[in-house]
Amino acid sequence: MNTQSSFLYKTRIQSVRWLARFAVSLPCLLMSLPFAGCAAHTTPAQDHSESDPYLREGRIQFESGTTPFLVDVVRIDSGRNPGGLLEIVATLRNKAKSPLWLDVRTTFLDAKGHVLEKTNWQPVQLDARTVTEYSCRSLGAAAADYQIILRKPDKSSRDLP
Amino acid sequence: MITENLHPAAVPTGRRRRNLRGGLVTILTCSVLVGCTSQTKRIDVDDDRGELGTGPSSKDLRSVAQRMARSIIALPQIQNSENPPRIAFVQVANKSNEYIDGDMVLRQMRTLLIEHAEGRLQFLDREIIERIERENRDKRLGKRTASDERPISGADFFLTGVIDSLDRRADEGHTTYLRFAFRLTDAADSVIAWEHSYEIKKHSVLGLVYR
Repeated sequence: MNTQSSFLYKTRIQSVRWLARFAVSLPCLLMSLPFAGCAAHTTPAQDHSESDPYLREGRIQFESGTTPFLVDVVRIDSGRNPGGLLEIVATLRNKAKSPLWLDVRTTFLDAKGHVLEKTNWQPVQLDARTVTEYSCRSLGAAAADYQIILRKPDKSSRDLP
Repeated sequence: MITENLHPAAVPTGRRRRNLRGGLVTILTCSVLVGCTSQTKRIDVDDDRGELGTGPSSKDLRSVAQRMARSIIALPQIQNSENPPRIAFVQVANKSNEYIDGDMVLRQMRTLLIEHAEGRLQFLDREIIERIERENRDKRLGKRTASDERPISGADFFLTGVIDSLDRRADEGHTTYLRFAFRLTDAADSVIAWEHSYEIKKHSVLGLVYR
């Protein structure tokens, strides 16, 4: 009986050791595989040809699906000033009952649809239940088209009464 | 359950229990330390989330430069000029309570305009004017080679600005109103040809630890 218990004990200890070795070596092996793969090969990229990737979704885009519930784009005017610069005026309506801060970025595109210049994410305050104008002007006359992205409508730090 | 079939020696004794406890403590400590280690992430240059205080953020300064550059470029004196007007900087006066390098906005404007305005404006580098004069003097003395000799350009306009602020206590915190105003002054007759401002107001309530 005593011999059998001793044998069982030794077998268990050995199994635990093997399990411990396996537990250490398997993650190491798994972690090293991607590196080995990265070092050896590169993957050819697929070129999904799009004529106007920036304008595919339209000139005015919302970054999130919830933004259109809060903000309406009621009018867009664009044209060239006497110096040939592209000017855009977007009229936005805040449908919420509190003022909102919206980040707006305008990207100007050249005749081939490539990015010429873009603004930073500019904070624009939209007064509650009314319209606000956002305007932007290109810095050069080579701007042929534009894309405006509206994102992250957020309440101001202190809601107006 | 396990101890039933084990050799009596396998039953945890006081020493083994201590070892087991020590191991567990080590594992827990390691996991806590891993969780507490420093992290660095690359973030968007306009990202000001989580920033404390009412001072201007990178997003604000970039917005100021963008608005100013896009406003100044539409000026008729620039649009209708046959030769691009030459602009020199004059240091921005910071009259606010915030530590802001106002010239940073000027430099950002200059970068934007040189990069994208297709040469409608020219900027004079007065920051290194002494170095340029010394170089020209050495050229005249024959110490340096010279391809052609031209006088140093004069400015048609001076671009400068002022930063004002107003601080007030409000609702267990404080508010800061900041006004960035930039102007373009004709170097010939001191007439202000263009001026544009950008206003920011922020309200901040600091946690008890920071008060």
